[in-house]
Amino acid sequence: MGRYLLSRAGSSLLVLLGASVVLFTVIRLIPGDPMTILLGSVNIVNPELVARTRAEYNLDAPLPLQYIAWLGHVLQGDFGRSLWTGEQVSDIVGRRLGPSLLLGLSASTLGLIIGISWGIAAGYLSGTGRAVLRNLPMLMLVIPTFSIGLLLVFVFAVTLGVLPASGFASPLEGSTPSVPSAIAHLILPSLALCLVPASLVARLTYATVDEIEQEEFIRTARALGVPRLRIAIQHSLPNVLLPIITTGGLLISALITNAVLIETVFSWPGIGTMMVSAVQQRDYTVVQAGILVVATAYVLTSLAVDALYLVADPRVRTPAQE
Amino acid sequence: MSSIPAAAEPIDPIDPINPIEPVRTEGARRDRSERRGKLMRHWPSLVALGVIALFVLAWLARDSLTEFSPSAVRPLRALLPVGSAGSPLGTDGLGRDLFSRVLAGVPFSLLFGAVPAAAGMIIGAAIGLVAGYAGGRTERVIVSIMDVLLTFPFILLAILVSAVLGASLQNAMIAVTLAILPKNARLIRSQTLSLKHREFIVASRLAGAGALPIIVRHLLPNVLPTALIVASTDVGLMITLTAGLSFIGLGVQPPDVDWGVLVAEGARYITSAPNLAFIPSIVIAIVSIAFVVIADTERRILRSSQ
Repeated sequence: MGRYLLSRAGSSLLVLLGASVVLFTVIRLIPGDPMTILLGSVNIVNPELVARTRAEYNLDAPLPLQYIAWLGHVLQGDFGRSLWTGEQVSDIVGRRLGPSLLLGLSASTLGLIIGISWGIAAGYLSGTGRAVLRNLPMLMLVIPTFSIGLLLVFVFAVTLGVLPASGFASPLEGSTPSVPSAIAHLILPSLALCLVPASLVARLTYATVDEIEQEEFIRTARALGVPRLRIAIQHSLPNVLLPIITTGGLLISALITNAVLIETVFSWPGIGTMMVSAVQQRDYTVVQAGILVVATAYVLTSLAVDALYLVADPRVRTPAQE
Repeated sequence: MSSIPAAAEPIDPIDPINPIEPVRTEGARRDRSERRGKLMRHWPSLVALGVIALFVLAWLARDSLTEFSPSAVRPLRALLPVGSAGSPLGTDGLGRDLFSRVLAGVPFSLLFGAVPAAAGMIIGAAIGLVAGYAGGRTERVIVSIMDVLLTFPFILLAILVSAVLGASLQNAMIAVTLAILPKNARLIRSQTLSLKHREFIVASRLAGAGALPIIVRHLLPNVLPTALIVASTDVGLMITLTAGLSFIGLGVQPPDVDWGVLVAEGARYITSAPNLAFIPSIVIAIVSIAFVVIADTERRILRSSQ
């Protein structure tokens, strides 16, 4: 068990290192001399100043050494300054990380709850309800998430006027939102974002329910006259958790991709909107930091989900399996 | 080259030397109705194909269907509602006709879905076939690289490519192709593994056929049906995904339009003219669903025939 986790942690570290090497190399492929950005076109003609700045920024060192120096800074949380605003990138990321994490957490919780109960209902219902519940998830996967977001805005914010359409804090309350206002702003984006993971989870769940329906312990329970609802909760639910955990990486990845779209729909002050506007402003230091932070979050959550697998499946923990 | 024919290739039931002229008998009539029955099983695919063809035909006939050019700005005709004379789907804030803009998006949206799906399948199948057939260390290295890429959040790739190469349709296509490649490589590899030890492959190898001829002549034709079906699902999913890229400004760049760009532009008018965002959204959903229906129907038929 320990060895398994250790090897997973090792490969996660390798993925992150690989991502950082790719990021470092690729950003340096961008045409244009960093000197022009740092000094401006006026000072670039001064050879002494150029030489001093090159030395100061370590630009004359060989690339691998530059990479190590850069990685050292990144590990200390120093991503440099934004090329657009001149602000410390770590400050921008710090401000944006909280809202993104909050949205991701509430959407994944909601997605799991909706997805599992949907899947179990689809597994045990019969007739039209069953057909509808089984075909709807595929439909949800091809209807654009951002359109669902806009539909929610149209219904609940524009037509009914019960929930705010965008942002995180309402403008009157300043930068730190009150709890009720934060929750009100959180509802629509979470709902829109949770639908994709919920559909994936629902499909997994009813496929698993179908499979274990054939198993002896379910047949025995049914033969003994245990009510269907109790079978579903007591016997199906624990078995449904394993395939969900196994596909955890895929679910987290789908959540991250859709989060960028949903943050744009709702003008959510998160990492996603930060990266999108940084791409448009060609603010490479911010793009670089955003990608690194999200990739790290992705790798860490995948690792945590893998660890959960050991908790959920006792067979993996036994020494015979190691 | 191998002198032994591939066993999996269907043997022609008609004797090629003495072809028997089909005689119209009871049996022939039953054959025909059987064939019609077989075609009937494909009806969802045919309907879906018809829907896609309708969009393509409407685009081809766009000049006779609408009098407005998709980019013609007419301030006097701004924000007309659905059902207005000359603009059946309404107009946007600059008075541009939504119907002609939806039609102008047809080639961009379809190609934005189809090109990455095709490229991702061709490259993915090549990688999968080589990995599955080669085995050993080559396979292990390829599989572990694909496993890492498989679940890596695709949007980060798209953002990186757009940041470095600039936001454009071509660059977005590169990112999307990279995103679906590992899934296809894995699928084709597992198919290859199950075929690798079948008699006709072993026989070819015994007859002295090289790796490349075996992969191209015997493995490829056998993985092709699965590959085509998966690619069709991918086109549907890709149309939705790439519309998302256009929506956040990383895909098709105005003045060109695809349906994602239209939704993004329409989102600004969500209070006054919701049709501007929702009509292109519905179009995206209809076309994506059409491709998924084709894939689903053909997959079911292929499975039941095996």
